[in-house]
Amino acid sequence: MKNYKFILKPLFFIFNLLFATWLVLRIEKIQPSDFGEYKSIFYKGVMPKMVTKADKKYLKELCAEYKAGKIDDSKLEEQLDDFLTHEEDKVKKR
Amino acid sequence: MKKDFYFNKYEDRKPYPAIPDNKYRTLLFQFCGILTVALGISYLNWRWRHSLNPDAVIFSIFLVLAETLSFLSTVMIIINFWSNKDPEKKGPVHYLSEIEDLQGRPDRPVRLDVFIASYNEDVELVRYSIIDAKNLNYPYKDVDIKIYVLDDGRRDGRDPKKENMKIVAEEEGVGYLIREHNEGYKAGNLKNALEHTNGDIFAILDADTRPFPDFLVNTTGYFKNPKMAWVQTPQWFYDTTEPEALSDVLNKKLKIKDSKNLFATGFAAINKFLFGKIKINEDLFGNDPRLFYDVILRKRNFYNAAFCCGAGSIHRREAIMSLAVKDFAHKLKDLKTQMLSNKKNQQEIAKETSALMKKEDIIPFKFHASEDIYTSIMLHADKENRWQSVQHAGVECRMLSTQDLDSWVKQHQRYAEGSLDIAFKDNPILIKGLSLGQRICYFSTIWSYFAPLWILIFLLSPVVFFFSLELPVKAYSFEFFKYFLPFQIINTLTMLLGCWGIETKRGDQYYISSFWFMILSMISVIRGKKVKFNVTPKGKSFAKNTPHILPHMIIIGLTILGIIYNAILVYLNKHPTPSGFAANSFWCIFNIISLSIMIRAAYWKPQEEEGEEEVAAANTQQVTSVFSEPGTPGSPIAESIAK
Repeated sequence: MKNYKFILKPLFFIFNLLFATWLVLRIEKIQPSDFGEYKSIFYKGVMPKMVTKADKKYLKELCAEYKAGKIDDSKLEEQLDDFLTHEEDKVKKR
Repeated sequence: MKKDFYFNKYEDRKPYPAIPDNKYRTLLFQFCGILTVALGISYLNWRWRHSLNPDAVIFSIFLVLAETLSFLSTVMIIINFWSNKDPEKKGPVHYLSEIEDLQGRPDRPVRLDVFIASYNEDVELVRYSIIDAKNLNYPYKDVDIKIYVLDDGRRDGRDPKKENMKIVAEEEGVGYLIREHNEGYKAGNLKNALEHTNGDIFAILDADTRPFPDFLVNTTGYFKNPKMAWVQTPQWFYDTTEPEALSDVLNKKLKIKDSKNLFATGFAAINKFLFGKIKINEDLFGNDPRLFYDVILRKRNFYNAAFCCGAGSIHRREAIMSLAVKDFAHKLKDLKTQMLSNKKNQQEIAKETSALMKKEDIIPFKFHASEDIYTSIMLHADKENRWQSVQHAGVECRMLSTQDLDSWVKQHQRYAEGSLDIAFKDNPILIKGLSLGQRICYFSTIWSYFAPLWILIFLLSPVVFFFSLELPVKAYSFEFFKYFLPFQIINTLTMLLGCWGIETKRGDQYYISSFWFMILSMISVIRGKKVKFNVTPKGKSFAKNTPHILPHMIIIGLTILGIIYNAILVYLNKHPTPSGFAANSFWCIFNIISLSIMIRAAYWKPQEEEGEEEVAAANTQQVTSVFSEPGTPGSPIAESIAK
């Protein structure tokens, strides 16, 4: 076993680097909703809903489809109205 | 008969023990260090790419630039602290053959010289150092230890207005060396000493440096390594200010300390009950250099990058002289090359070379404001000899520290100017012969003197926000804190591990508080001004302190005004970003606490029982550290501030 002791330190640093990379990537993915309901100490009343990455993705796709001519003005407006008025259901539907 | 000085009451103070090495702590530090770097890169990546406020682009860029520069400093500190490698301790040297290859020469007991550099200090103060040097132990009776006072003040009795240093040296039975000019200041003084002595190893002490009896016993053994050029021991200031009870300070300020008025007595009693246990003013000038010597410099042993700081160091004559001779040879070679390219004939070359040899001197220590670090860089860069150095862990001598802010600032300003001068003229990053670790360590020292560039931005950013109501980031949102907090928490943990066992509060405060004189130093060096060696005035003048703290007062004043203005806006529900106000106010508390240390130091007075005469004596000794140690690089403050 003593003969392989020299491996321990490189292994330690490899683990260290992997852990650091994982931590950085994990932090990037953290969303406010991971911590439950968000309440501001500065704003009274109902908080505006936080835009999630899924929301952004949906809106981007909508824009891309519109640009590509897959949907027309009226369809876009309809979709946006739908998105804004039924945000919560929207995410589930998707 | 020894004269009484203010520091006599500190004679019983004991030096701090060296921090024991711990490999598990080192591993944990390395683990956290890598996390800090990764999280720092991630944070700055987000800052640069996603957080700049489009409504305040310049403000945003300035702040993120300051953060980036500061992060660079953190990375260098992590590299500096990476590992510890205290060299093996060996017994004291006896024979010359133990420290160098004699190449057929006959062996003999080694010769040791102790130099006490002096300029205009109280001769009785120097006597203390001489007496302690005379008490140095050494196990081998046949080893010749010679002590010399190197008096650059020429106090040999020729000027009746001056004290007579020569008589003191004669009374104590030690050597006395003077020269007729002050060229090169301390470096010149040492050069003169080396020309008149023949020790194989020599120790450098300042006029106020008092070695402990085992100073040589514990340090000469390192020279058994034939590549060891110098050993630096920690400079321990044993006269730093003592903690005072907050109640005593308040009673003194309110002048109710010894009042017989019933109301005042009652107030004093309440004051004592409430604040009696809170201690303040300990090491008010941040003079305790433990962080510097016991952590920063000691950990550089790992890279063979510990540099010489003058007083308390021991040198191999051969190393320092070989460098000097090489320098001289290089000058001759350069001259010859230049003349050959100018197509001069052999006769002219010989004539010019001979003239140069007469004119130029062999200079062991560089004639520079920071001669210590400069000479260290050159020795480490010597590719042929590959000289080594060591920062010895234990305290082997004691010294006196500055006792008023004006002296303190002037002293540290010289350190800063000297180091910055090296950065601009002979940057260690570019010098050939240094290893990568050495380059980073030396550059880290010099980089620490650029800190005011980002400190000023950190200090002014909240003020700019308070009056413009524009944030330097898009928002203090969840996104901001999710990147910032993990980095900050791990960074703090890393530094805590790196500086384990050492109080760093004062260093942190002076890191911020030193910004002004460092900016002045930077401007002075950029303008090409030569670093002056003006001797610090002897009288203690508090009026002189005000210019040093005026910028601090202005920033604190503006900050408080800004907080009041923003608080009113929040109260009236008219503040556009209350979260920004909260974050900046929190930031300001730290800034104000840090800035206030220098203001407190400016108005601090020694306790009343210390008479005026003693205060004057205290100031006289400051001349020592300011003059005879002008180039102590990487001063504790500057280095610890880099942390």
